Amino acid sequence: MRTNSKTTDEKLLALADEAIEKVEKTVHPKTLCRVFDCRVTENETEVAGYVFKSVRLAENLRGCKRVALFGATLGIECDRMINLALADNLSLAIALQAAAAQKIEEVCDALEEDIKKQYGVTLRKRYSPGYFDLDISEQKKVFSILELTKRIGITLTDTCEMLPTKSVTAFIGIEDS
Amino acid sequence: MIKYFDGGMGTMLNLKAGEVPEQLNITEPERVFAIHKAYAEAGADIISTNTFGANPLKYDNYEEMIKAGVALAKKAGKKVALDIGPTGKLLNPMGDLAFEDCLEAYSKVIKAGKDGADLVLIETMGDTYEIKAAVLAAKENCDLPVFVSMIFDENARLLTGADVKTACALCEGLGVDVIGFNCGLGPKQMLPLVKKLRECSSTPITVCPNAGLPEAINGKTVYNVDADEFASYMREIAELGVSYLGGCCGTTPAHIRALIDNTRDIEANIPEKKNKTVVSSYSQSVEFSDKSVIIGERINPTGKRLLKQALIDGDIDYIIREGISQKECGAHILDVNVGLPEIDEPKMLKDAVCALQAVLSLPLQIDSSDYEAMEQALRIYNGKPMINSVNAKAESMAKVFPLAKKYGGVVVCLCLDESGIPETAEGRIALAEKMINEAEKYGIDKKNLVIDALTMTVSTNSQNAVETLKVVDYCKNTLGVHTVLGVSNISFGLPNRELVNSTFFVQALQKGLSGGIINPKSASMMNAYYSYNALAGLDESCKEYIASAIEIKSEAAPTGSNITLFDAIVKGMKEESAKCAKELLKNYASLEIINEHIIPALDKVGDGFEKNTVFLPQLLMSADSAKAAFDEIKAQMIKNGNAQSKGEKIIIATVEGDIHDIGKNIVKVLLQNYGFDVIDLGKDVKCEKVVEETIKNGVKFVGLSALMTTTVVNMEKTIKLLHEQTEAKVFVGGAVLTRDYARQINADYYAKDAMESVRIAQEFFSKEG
Repeated sequence: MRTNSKTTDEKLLALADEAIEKVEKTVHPKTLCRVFDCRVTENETEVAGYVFKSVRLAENLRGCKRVALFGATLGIECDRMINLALADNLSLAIALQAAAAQKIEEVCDALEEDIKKQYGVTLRKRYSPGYFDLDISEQKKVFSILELTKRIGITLTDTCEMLPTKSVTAFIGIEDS
Repeated sequence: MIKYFDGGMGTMLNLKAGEVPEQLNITEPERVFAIHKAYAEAGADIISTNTFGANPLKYDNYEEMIKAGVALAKKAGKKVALDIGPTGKLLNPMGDLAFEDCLEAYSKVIKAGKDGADLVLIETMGDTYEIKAAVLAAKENCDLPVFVSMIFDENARLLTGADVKTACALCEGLGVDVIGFNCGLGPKQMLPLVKKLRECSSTPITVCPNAGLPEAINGKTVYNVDADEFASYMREIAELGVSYLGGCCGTTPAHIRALIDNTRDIEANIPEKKNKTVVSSYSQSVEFSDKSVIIGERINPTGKRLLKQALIDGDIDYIIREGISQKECGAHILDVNVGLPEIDEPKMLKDAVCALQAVLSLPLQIDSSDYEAMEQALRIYNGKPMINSVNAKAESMAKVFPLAKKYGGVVVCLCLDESGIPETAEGRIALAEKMINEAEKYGIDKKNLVIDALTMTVSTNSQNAVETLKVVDYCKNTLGVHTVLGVSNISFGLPNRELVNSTFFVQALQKGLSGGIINPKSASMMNAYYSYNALAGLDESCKEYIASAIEIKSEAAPTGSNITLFDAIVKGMKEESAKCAKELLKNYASLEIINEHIIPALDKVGDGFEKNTVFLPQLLMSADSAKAAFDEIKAQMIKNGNAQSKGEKIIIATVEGDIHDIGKNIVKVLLQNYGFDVIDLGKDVKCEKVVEETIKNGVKFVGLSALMTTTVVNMEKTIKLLHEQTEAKVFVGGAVLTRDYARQINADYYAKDAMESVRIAQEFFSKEG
């Protein structure tokens, strides 16, 4: 929700507050994370028997022997809440959209903190299907590996968009010390 | 005797990366059969086919997979359960799979597998809507018993939000033979769920937990509960009273053997019959009890000019707003009636129900005298609805009771027949009894009926209220059936109608009325309701009453601001805009207000947006305010019976395969604010449909939105078809587009944001004109 970060417009700030509060109250984030051994070459990454062809992913994971693969979602109530706002309060709807986008990023960040604590490692930047040359259709493999539909209820459309809309999957390279 | 299912198949198969388990029925049948045989030898009574994911939406050769799967399971020599899992897709409108397409897919699965199976096992379901599609498919295509087993999370909720009671209401309404749980949780975590189910269900129970919760050990998934621990928790579950037990992910023949050894001395136990009257939505249930429920009556075009106009215009958002406002005023259930001769009622009722249940969690009351409309709405309703209505005429009962039986629901029974409405209580009671008896012939229990004793005005017969109340009393206290009543008729022809209505309402509540079909936005009615509850001891510490009283006070506070309409819109002040517009309408013509006040205000804001001094949220607050002003103008025009002049038509749509629509909706509102007649086709719209609608509506200007590189190809396709088959010009927008790319795909215009869409549209139509 682009705005001048120094805005003093009270209505705008109130709108943002309202959206953040509603998102906090309504969403039940679900996450699923597993750590796998991985084999990384120049242009391929092998995880759990599946091969992901992508130079940029391989670059991101270079030198990692393990990778965390995760899925996270804010759930379907979040989408419902935004759609409800679309019916009669458009400005709230986009504020909710922005707040929800922020929230899912926070959920992913928190997940990374958990991994760091649990394994005592440092992590690479998270990398999702659809970035650069990791084609979005590779999402299907991630879904197979993690059983995301059954376990936390994320589905894939025919064009590999995720539903509920505020969902993220990603690889996170683990740097063993 | 408790009957035993087998255990996990997927985990037993030891699948390699990319292996499709159902395909093994064809390519490696011995591998699959070995597992069936092991479970049979462990003592399982029922073997489920290895067909969990075999569905035409996933695999073209689903039929082959299923037939092979059934044959393999049969070979084990035990009873065979045709195993059906979720489609893996999310259903409309939150998702991208239409309910009817889902039902169609399941129908094909049932047809492929019913020969050779002894029962249908619909399992690992996390969505009430998908459950309904699968159950209807089973009931429509075979005669086998139907089991529904669901996956709940640690918070005792389905993925799409329903709790156990809500899911149970849906399943029992659909006539499911066995209800229960599988997957997601280990037996220890399932204990409380089984307890909850026993409290609300009258149907036999099945429980198939995982062998605990999955842990990742050395990159492999391991389930952490061994056979003995599994068996001991399952004994606790058996002692609660179930009919079927088995295992899911992580369980092995050893688990099943231990389970059987540890529970074979425990008798099967079906929960006792419950007599509760329950309706449900996708996520919540409402039970009729001593405390009356409020059924909001506002979505009904009779006597409501604005709603009538909205229905004729296909303005679904208006209906949603009516639903929202009734919910905010305390309605528990919403009546939905769109009966107008000018429109296609079956389609509109379907659309209205779909739109409401997409965003509101209140159960709905499907209200129609058109049986076609009623059936279509019942079919796609996500939950167990109220059905309004049946009466004692032979035709009505013959048409409505079968629908209620098939789709589930609580039926409102009107005490009238071919001779009209009986004058006396005795006459109406006789009709009530007639309907109860007739319903029973269809297998509908009286707990799924509510009697409407009918309200006639006291101004024509002073005994009318007395007679109605006698019926309410008798139904509640003698017949043991719940009652509903639409009260406002009682005061027809009298002054101070609100007073008579609310007094009558209290009288009826006193007699035990279970549901009031009223206007929740009426303060006097809701005051009567809340104060009655407080006085009748139905409101702990008078909490609800106190909360409701505070709301009424704040509503009465007057606002005396002197702001102009122009400023109200620029500042994004919605209520003030509406008020100002209303004031101006007293002295000025609509067109003058639009051109002299609203448009200049929007232009100022739009200008600021383009110059980056005003940002999107502020733009939208102004747009919302302008819309509020427009609504006042529109209301005035309708009240005066003026025909509205429609602006130039523009079609907008999010392209095929793409389900993002917030940006498109923003464009819609802005274009509407500037006077264009926008036809919104929605999201994931097939290329051909865009062309069809363009031709059908004679539209010259079409806007397309896409968010993803994978879907923008469909934008190109749509543009090509439009240029080939129509004269329409196309403007495009969306996060994935650039001016260059738009040119590449032959779009006529590119709009980088919503304001630019408005400028382009204005430019286009001024050139055209």
